[in-house]
Amino acid sequence: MSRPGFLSIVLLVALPASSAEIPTVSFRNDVVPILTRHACNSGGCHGKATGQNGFRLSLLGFESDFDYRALVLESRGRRVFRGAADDSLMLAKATGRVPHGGGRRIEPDSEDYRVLRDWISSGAPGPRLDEPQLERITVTPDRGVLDTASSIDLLITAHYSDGRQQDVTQRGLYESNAPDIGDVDHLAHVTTASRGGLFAVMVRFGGQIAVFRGTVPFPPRADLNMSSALKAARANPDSLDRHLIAQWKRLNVAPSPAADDETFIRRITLDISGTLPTPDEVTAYVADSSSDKKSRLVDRLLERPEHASYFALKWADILQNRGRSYSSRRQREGTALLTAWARDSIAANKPYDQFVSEILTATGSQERNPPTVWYRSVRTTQEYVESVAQAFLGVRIQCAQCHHHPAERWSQADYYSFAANFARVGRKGGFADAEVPTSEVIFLKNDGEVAHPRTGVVMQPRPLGGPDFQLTRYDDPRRALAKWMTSPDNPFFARTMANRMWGHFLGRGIVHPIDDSRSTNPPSNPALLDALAREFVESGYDVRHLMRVITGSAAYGLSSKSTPFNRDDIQSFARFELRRLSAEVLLDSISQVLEVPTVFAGGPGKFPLGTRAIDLPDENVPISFLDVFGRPSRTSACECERSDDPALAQALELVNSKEIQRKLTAADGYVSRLSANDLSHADNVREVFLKVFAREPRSEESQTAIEFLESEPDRAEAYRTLLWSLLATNEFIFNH
Amino acid sequence: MIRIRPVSTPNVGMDFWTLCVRQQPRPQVSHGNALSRSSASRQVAVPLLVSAILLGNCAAFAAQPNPVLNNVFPAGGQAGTSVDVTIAGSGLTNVSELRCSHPAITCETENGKLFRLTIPADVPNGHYDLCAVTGNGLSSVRSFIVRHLKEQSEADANDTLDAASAVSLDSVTNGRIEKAGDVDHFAVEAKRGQRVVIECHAKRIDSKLRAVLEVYDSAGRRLAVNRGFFGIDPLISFDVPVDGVYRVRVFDLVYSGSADHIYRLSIDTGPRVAFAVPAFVQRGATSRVKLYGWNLSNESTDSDAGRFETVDVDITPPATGVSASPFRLGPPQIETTGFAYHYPGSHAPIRIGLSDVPVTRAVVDNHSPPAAQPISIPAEVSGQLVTSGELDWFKLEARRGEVLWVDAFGERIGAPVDLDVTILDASAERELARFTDQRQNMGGIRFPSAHSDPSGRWLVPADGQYCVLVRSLIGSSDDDPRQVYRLSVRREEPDFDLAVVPRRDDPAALNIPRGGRAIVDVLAFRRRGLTGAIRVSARNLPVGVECPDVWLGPGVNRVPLVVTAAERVDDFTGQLELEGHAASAGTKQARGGTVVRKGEPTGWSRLTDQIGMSIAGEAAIRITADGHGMRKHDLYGDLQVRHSPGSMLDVAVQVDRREIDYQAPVTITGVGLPSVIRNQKATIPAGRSSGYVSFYLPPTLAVGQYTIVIQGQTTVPTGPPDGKGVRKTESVTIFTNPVTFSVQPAAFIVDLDQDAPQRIHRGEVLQVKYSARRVNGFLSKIHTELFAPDEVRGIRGRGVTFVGQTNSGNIQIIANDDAPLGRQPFLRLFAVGVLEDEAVYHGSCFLPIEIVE
Repeated sequence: MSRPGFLSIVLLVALPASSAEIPTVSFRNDVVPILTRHACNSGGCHGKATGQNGFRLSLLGFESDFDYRALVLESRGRRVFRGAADDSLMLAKATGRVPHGGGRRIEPDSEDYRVLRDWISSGAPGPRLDEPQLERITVTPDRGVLDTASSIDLLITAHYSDGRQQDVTQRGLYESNAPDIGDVDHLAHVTTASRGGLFAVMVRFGGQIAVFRGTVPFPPRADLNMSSALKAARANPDSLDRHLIAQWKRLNVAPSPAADDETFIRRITLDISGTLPTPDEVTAYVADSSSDKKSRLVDRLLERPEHASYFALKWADILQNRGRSYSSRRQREGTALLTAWARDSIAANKPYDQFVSEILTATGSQERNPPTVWYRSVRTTQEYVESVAQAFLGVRIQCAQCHHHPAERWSQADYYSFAANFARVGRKGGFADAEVPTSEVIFLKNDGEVAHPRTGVVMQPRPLGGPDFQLTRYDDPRRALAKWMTSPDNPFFARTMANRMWGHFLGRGIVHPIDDSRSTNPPSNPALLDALAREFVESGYDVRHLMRVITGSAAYGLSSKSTPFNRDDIQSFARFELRRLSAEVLLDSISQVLEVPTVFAGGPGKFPLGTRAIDLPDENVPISFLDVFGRPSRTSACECERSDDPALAQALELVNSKEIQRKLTAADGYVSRLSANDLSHADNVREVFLKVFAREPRSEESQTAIEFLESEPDRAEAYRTLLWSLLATNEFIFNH
Repeated sequence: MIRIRPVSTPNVGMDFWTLCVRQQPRPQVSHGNALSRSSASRQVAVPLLVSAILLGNCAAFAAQPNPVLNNVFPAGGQAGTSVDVTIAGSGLTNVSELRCSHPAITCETENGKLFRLTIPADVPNGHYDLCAVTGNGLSSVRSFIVRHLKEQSEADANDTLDAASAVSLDSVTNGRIEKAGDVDHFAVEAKRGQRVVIECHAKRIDSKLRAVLEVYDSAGRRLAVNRGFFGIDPLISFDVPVDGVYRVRVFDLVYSGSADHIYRLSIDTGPRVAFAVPAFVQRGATSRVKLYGWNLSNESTDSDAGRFETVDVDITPPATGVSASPFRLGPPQIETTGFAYHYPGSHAPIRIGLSDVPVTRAVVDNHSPPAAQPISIPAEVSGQLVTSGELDWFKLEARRGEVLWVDAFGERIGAPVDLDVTILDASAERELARFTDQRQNMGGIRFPSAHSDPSGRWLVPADGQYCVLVRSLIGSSDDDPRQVYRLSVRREEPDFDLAVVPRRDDPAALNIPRGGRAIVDVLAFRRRGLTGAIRVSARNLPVGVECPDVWLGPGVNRVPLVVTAAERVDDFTGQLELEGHAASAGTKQARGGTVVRKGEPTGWSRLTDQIGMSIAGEAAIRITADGHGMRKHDLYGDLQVRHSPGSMLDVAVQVDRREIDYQAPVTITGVGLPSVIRNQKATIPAGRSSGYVSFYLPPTLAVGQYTIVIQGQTTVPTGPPDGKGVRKTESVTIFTNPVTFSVQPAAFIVDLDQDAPQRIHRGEVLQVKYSARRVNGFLSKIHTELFAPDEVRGIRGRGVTFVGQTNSGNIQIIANDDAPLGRQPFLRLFAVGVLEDEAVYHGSCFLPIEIVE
């Protein structure tokens, strides 16, 4: 591709009649972008909240009025010298002629220097209301398929409100989200590396953002037979799989073959119900030769109470249903009610739009309306906005609390208009026995407003990116918000849930991370995400239907073993991604295998024996195993709080903890039963493997195990050791 | 423990305390010449000493234990049967019987541990109170439910679904979550098409259980769950899908459990009424009411009924009076009046409210200002906010200067709403008044009476039409026909209700020791502009029991009420009947209130039908108050005290100990003071038997009749001296008889100059500047002296007289060389206003002057 000329290719498409009155150099459209490009207003320099050495600019130049005051009017106007522009402090500092902590940022003979000097010489005019506004920028091309080790130049065009277009390629700022696949330099020159994959380049100019999406196919391999690979993967081109197939083909990636039945039933039982399949379930499934056995399995699993418990646990995390740090015995009633409500909702397959609406618009007491408990954890303007945006819209809008979002279109006005939806959330009653009152009643206050922190303007309730809601004084803005959010054409809602569920089952969202949707973090397979979201909306927000679609996809059924044709790929779901069992599921699985339930410390009551970790109402149940394995503290709506990072303590917990020892040595546990039965070691080993791994032992495994068992004189000790060893294997600890 | 019996004296008919008081002259408020304390002590010592000698000098009078009933099991029974009941609690010694608020329910016991209650067949279904008659008096109450269904008690081992206890359909099971983590299961056989209603009574029978109900099919699949329908008590309406055995699981939400976690589980297919629309009807007028519930009719006839069935019935309420109501009511419901309607065959009665004017039903399409429904004053409107966010609009005509009282009932009639009433102009654009929560909690934690229903006063600004908007600030996301309300718009028609509640945050009955007193609080719930005094009187008291009238002064909402028992009064176990009378609102009977369980963060109390009272034990000490002693004045002789704003209330307190050889100081302070009166504390030292406490009646105190009580704190011995002569003691809180005083209009207000000196040296002479601001047109002479209720010690004041229009001056104060150091309690400037040489008006202010070296 040819590279466009550099020096200001000004495309004067429609010059306005009054153009002669417009200053040659615009502060907003020309000066500020230069400051941004040279990082003068970056968060590490003058753009941070406290400024730098007494000079503060708005972060990334989103507030040109503020910047003008800072640059021209503050410090007795010493930063610009209209009479001798070259002697202006801002130019002297930027060029390093006087000491500058940020070093030399602009060359004196550069175009940027000339623009700044011309602006000062022309009287350093400020932003004007009547000057053309930058409405958007475009990147050309906006997507492309690039070979490995190739390059492309991007053309950035600014579009102004007077119809004018301008090449601003030299003045933009560029950043790649995957530099190891495709990188970009300061002149919008994109270069791909030696490996394939997907990448995006964020282009920023004058407060506007555009994105280039690059696809770099892996080098073609002569030994790849795509059709046989797709067949082995059981990919169905007539289903949603077509979007996966298209992606694989685009990237020259072949999927791994489908997983075997044993692996699949273990995987899906864990993923839907947080529970291991029993040996009987495994053998029955494997022996079942009917074509619909997979869908029947899914249906069965979705009906199980463990499914409701497992997903209620997930929602309790997202809804921050926490009991810790409030140090209130009575907090447990509220957390139990909210988790139970989530569990009931999931058990009843409550439509997702209704589920979310009930949370967002909750009023009353926790007894009458358990979703009001959400408002115990979420109680400030910041928490309302960020929790709702992240949990239900997949948007991380936190940045816009203090400044315009640097990588998105969200402004502070968007943030506080969104917050205004919650300005009339009233609280009363309850008792202040802890950090926050317990058992409050949530109601619609008669008044309450949110003001823009910078301008002081009272913000009207508004959806993200939309116009103000039309409300009467007796309307609860949250109802309008819920209605907007759950409408079929909402651009975020269904996609976020579809992506969240895809991430749950596939280990990685189509948008990744799952709750960081933005134009600069595009989905790896937009067509797939669109199709999933559409399917979800058309089903009436039927979450189980969504789960059936996802678990029925070829991607979910693939083996986790990589092949030479997908080894380096992590984005196209060409193999099942291994992941460690979550803390609660792992603990429950150990209890299940060893047939010894965990005793959970309670308070104020006592959890009945047999209570599972996935049944716990909140995180304030002290058990170190769960904390060591990453149980979240539920202080944000981000699922990323749940950690699956490895740690030495985890290994110690598995091999050395009292809890594991207790379960291995319990008089009425599985080990005791094994050691007391009359079955042969071979029969027992087969059952042990089915319980632990959901598969028969391989012959060499069986042989090794039997030899070990026979070598150990103490039968109980022998089985204890065998189980102890198997529970510490990756095959047990991981879902694969 | 050895107990001393009442002293036998030859004075037949005269009790111990009477004897004491006769022997000991009442302390008199004198001017600088108080009665010699030592002589008073000597006089009182005689009979006590005699009694001590007679009884071997080993008396012990520990405070009577408070009998508290923690649970009754089973907490109900079937009419027409007898039921064996066990009880548990504290202070329950020598229980002779259980007594029910329904008089026909009788009790027998052989061992004082198991009680057989016989419930005649004609006892209506309903909620009653049960208490124990113990050696320590009456216990606090517990709920007891009467039903016409068969009853059974929970079997022991039913902790798993597979071990579910079989129970029959149409029965009530009494169970208990007896330990933490306990889960109970019951199996019931039902047939396809039956609508089975499973209801758990727990909180409604004073249980600690926070119940959760679940229903499982025979395959172990959970079919239904509920965690709260009537408040936190759950109910499941279950349509049986196929013939079979279904299991019901009961457990505590947070897996708590104890002997007090009792419950009643009813599983039946009979008619059940949940609520009615309208929820209230006009007295004496036959009205058509729609009942909502289950198994009422074959099919629902109302599109708004949702999950409920409905049936229309004609109800004729009583024209006057209200009989005892078999309902469990919370403190806020004291302001509601209702009667029991029993739908034929229904498991329980439903409470229908009563109105003294016709009831208007809200139309279904009044959800916008143009569709506002006209109502006229007085208006009593029954409405229903079926959908969440629904607005009901009304319009009314009113005249300038009219005072209207708006009162809406939602929470108080059991509806899941938080009502808000707004009055707007005719265009519905401008809000003129808004009424929201009635959050004032007069009863505090002992009787939490706050609620979310709005009420308030509105002065009509101009002749014309106004809009009234009713809405709920909470609501379910689904349509809910239970969201009913009553809107009352009335002119100023004063009204009130009275509740009698324990003085402390304890479940307790009113047990009066012989020769002693017991105290309760009377709360007044004033409505529609009632601000004047309310007089509370007891009726039908047994012989030997006194309960002087008490007054809730203007604007006062709480007054202590004291019941005194004579020394040799007969045993009595019954109830205290109280009624209140207000000049503009007539007479009302007081309701009882009880603390259900103490220690709840926001309180847990309820109303009771009766105010239980008994005579129990003997008092170790008694204090007596007199707020009307004469004042001796050097110039004007003995003066009858006239109380007015800006004057003093002096209360003389007499202490009478049963054991005179034990002496301890008694700290006295006021109880039940109107909020504008600052409390004071004084100490009657050990060895003295009388003292004073004085209160300044501020100028802002409204004219009227008030009652206060003096509380004393001291120790009493609980046993004989040990080998070293040391006695075990316990702290006791005791109360005097009530002191009622009339506050009359003031003639002047005495005030110290704010720069007046606060110290005087021995031998020093000070000029203290003060004023006597004349009010209410008083022009005559005002004479001022120094005064203290017992004696002015060590200082003298030269009296000052203002004549004509004079209203300020100096009083000269001289400290003697041997004046006692420190402050003298209750020292004051005492002024009398003189009319024709008669000292008629009194006014005082404290003189906080300290004598120093």
